[in-house]
Amino acid sequence: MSHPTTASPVARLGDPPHVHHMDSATAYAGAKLGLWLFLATEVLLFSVLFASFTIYRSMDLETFHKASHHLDWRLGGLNTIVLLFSSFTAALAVDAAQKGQQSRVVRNLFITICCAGIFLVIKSIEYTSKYHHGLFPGGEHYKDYKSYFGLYYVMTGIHGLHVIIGMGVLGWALLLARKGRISERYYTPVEMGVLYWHLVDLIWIYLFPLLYLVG
Amino acid sequence: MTSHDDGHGELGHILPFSVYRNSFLALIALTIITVLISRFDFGSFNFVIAMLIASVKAGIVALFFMHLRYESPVIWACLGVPVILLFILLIGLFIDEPFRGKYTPAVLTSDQPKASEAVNTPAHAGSHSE
Amino acid sequence: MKTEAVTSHSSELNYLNCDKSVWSWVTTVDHKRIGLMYLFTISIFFFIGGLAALLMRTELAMPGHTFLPGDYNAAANTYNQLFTVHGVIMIFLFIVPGIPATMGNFLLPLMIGAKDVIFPKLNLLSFYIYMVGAAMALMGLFIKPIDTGWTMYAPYSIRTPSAVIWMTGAAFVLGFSSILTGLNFVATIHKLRAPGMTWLRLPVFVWALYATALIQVLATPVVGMTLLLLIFERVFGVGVFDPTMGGDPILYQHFFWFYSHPVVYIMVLPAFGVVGEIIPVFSRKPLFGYKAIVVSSLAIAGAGFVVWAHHMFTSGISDFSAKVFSVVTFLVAIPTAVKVFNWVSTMYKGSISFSTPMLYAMAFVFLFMIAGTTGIYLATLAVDVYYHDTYFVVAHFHYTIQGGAVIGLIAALHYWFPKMTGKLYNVPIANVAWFLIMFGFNLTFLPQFVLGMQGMPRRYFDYIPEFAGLHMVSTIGSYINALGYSLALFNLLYSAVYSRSKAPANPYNALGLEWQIASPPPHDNFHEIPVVTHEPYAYGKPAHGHGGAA
Repeated sequence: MSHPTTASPVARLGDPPHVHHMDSATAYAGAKLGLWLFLATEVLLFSVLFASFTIYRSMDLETFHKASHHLDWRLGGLNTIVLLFSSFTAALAVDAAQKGQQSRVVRNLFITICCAGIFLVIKSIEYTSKYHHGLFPGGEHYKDYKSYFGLYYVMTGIHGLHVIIGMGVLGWALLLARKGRISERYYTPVEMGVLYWHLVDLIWIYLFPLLYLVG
Repeated sequence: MTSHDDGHGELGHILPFSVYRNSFLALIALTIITVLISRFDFGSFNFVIAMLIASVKAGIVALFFMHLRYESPVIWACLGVPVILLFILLIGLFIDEPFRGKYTPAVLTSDQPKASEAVNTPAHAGSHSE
Repeated sequence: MKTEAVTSHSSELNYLNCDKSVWSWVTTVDHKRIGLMYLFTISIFFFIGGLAALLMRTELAMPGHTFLPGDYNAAANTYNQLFTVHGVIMIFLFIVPGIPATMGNFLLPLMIGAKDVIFPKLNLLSFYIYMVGAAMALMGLFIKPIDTGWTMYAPYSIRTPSAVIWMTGAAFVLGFSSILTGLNFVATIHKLRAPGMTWLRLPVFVWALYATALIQVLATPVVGMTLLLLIFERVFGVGVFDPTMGGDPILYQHFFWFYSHPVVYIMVLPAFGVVGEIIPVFSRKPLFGYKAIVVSSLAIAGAGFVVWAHHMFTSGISDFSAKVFSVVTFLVAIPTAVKVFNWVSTMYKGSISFSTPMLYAMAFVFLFMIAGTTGIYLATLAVDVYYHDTYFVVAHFHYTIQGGAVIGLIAALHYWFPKMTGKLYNVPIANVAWFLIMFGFNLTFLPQFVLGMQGMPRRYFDYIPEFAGLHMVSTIGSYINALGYSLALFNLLYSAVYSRSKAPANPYNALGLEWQIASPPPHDNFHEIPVVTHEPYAYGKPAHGHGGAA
C-alpha cells in the first residue's frame, strides 16, 4: 500500500522522515530492496575479477602457486578475523537500533569503523612489503608472475576502496545516531550501512582463501 | 529457531544475542579450519574445499548477520541471481579456454586444391595445453 | 473510480507550469521533468551520432578516398574514429538510456498509480551522472577521438594513443546512471503499485521496463568492471588482457559481450512494451496473450545472458563453446517470435485506425521481423563464420536497433505526446516523416545485407569497385532517413512549443491509468491514489465506458 499515512500527532526526534509519495513502512521496505539490489550489482562487479583470477589460475597453476607464496597468510588471516569481528559488531549495532539503544548503536558502529581502519593498516603493510620486493607494477619481479599481481592489486584494491567507502557510510550512520535521529521506529541508515558492510566482509571471505591459501 | 519465536520489533526481526555470538564463533572456527586444511595437499580439490568453506561462512554472514533468513524471496533473489550469473560466466569461460585446440589451415597453392586437401579440422579438443 | 479532471486549461497547474524557474528544473525530483530532460539530451546526442553516420556514408558513397581530409591513411584513420564515435554515442548516450530514461521515467509511476518513483532523488542523481558521463565522452571526442570501434577490443585499445581512458571512463560513469535507473524502477514496481494493481494487471510496458531494469542492474556492473580493468591495463599494465604479459585478449571479449549482448535487450525490450501498448488501442481489441507477453519478456531478459559468445565465433574461442553458444542463441528467438505472433493476433479482426503511433508500431513489427530472421542466419555458426565482420552484421543490428528500438521510441513519443505536452502534433507532417524514415531506412540497410553476402567487410572506409552501386544506394537512403528523423522530431518539438491545440486527457479512449488524469499531468500525478479493479486491455468488451477504470 502506498497511501500516505497521517502524520503522528507529535513529531519526535527519531521519527522516520516524511516523504510525499509513500508512507514510512513502504519507504523502509523500499530502501531495503533498493540496497539489496545494489548489493547484487556489487557481487557482479567482483564476479569479473573472481572469474578472471579463476580462469587464469586454472591455465597456469604453477605460476599462480609460486606467486601466492609472496603473500603472508598470517596477515591475511588476521585481516579476516578483523573483518569478521567488525561484521559481528555491525550486526550488533543494528540489533541495538532495533531496540532503540542509542549509545550501544554508537559504540558498535565505532568499533566497526575502527576495525575497518585496522584492516586498511594491515593492508598497507602488505602493499609496502610487496613494493620492497619489486612486486609493484613496474617493479622488477612484477611480470614474472604474469597477471597474478595485477589481479591481486585490482582485487584487493577495489575491495579496499569499498572498505573506505564503508567507513564513510557507517560514519554517517554513527553521526545520525549521535544526534538522536535513530530510534526503534527509524533505523534505516544504520541497517543499510551495515548491510553494505556485510557485503564488504563477504567479498573478503572469498578473497582470503583464493589469494592467500590456494594461490 | 523459527522466525516468530524471536522478538518482533516494529520494523524487523530481533534476534537473540546468542544467534550473533554463535555465528561469530562459527565464522572464526571455519576460518581456522580453512587455514589448517590448506596446509594439506588435496591437489585440485584444495580450491573446491576452500571455496566450499568460504561459502558456508558467507552463508552464515548472509543468513544471520544480514537477516536473509527472515527476508522475502525477492531479497533472496538479489543474492541468488548474481551468483547464478557468475556461474554462467564461469561456464562460458571454462568451455572456451581449456578446449582451444591448434588448427593448421591448408596452405593454398596456385594449383587447384583437391577436395581431399580441404582445410584441416582442429586437433582434438582438450588434448593440448598452450 | 471517477476520471480526474478531463480537460486541461492553461490556467490549471500541471507539472510543466507549476514552477517555471530554471532552478526548479535543475533541482527537480519530479520523474516527469527528469524524463523530459533526458529526452532533450539524448535527442541532441542522436543527432551528433547521426551526423557521424552521415559523414561515414558520404565517404562510402564512392569507392576510394572520397572526401575525408588528409591523405589516404589519414582519411582511413579518421574513418575509424567516425565509426567509433558513431557507435559510442548512439549506444551509450542515446539508445541505452533510450526509452527507459525518457518514456519510462515519465510513464512508470503514472501507469502503476504512484506519485513518483520510489527514489526520486536517486533519479535526479542518475540524470546528473549521465550528464557527467556525456561530458567525459565529449571531452574524449575533442581530445583525440578513439579509433578502436565502440567495442574497444584489447590489445589495440591498450596500445592506441587515443583518448581511450576518457571514453572508457565515460562509459563507466554512464553505466552507473543506467544501474541506478534500473534499480529505481525495479524497487518502484515492487513497492509502489496502487491498490488493486496486481502484477498481472500491469500494462505490458511496465513489464517491459521491469525486465529491462533487471538487465540493467545485473549486466552493467560486469562491463563496468571490464572497462575499469581496461583502464588499469593501460595505466598500470595489469596484464589481464595483454598477451605480452600472458593475458588473453579474448577474455576481454567474453566480459565485454557478457554485458553487451544483454544490453541489446535493454535497447529493444522497452520498444516491445511500447508496441504492446499501441496495437491494442488502435485495433480496439484486447492484447492477445497477455500472460505470454509477460513470460516472454522475462524469458528474453534471462535468455539474453547465456548467448554472449555468438559475437565471438571467429575470435578464436574453442569449437566446442562456439557450438554451444550457437544452439543456445537459437532459443532466444522463440520468446521474441511469441511476441510478434501475439501482436499480429491482436490486430486480427480488430478495428484498425492508422494513426501515426500505429503506423510506427506496424513498421516496428515488419522491421523487427527482418531483424530477427537475419539474426537466425548469424546464430548459425557455419554461416556466421562467413558473415562475421561483414555488412550483413551491420544491416542486422541496424534493423534491430534502429528498426526496432528507435522506431519504438519515436512511436512512444507520438503516442504519449498529448499526455506529455497537453497538445497535439501535426499529423500530416508526422505521417510524411514516417514514410521518409521507412523508405530511407530500408533503402539504406537492405542493400547492406546483399553487400555483406557479397563479402563487403565492415569498418572499412574503402572497397572494391564491384560494391559501388549498392553503396551509393545505401548512402542516398541514409540522407532520406536522416531527413525523415529530422522532420519527425522537429514536428514534435515545434508542436510542443508553438501549437495552440489542446489535447484531452484521453484522446484515444485508451484504458491505463495514465489516461485517467489530465494532459499534461499535475505535479504529483494523482490527487488521490486510484484503486484498480480491472484488466489492462479490455478494449471492445461490453459495459466499457469512456475509458474509465471502473
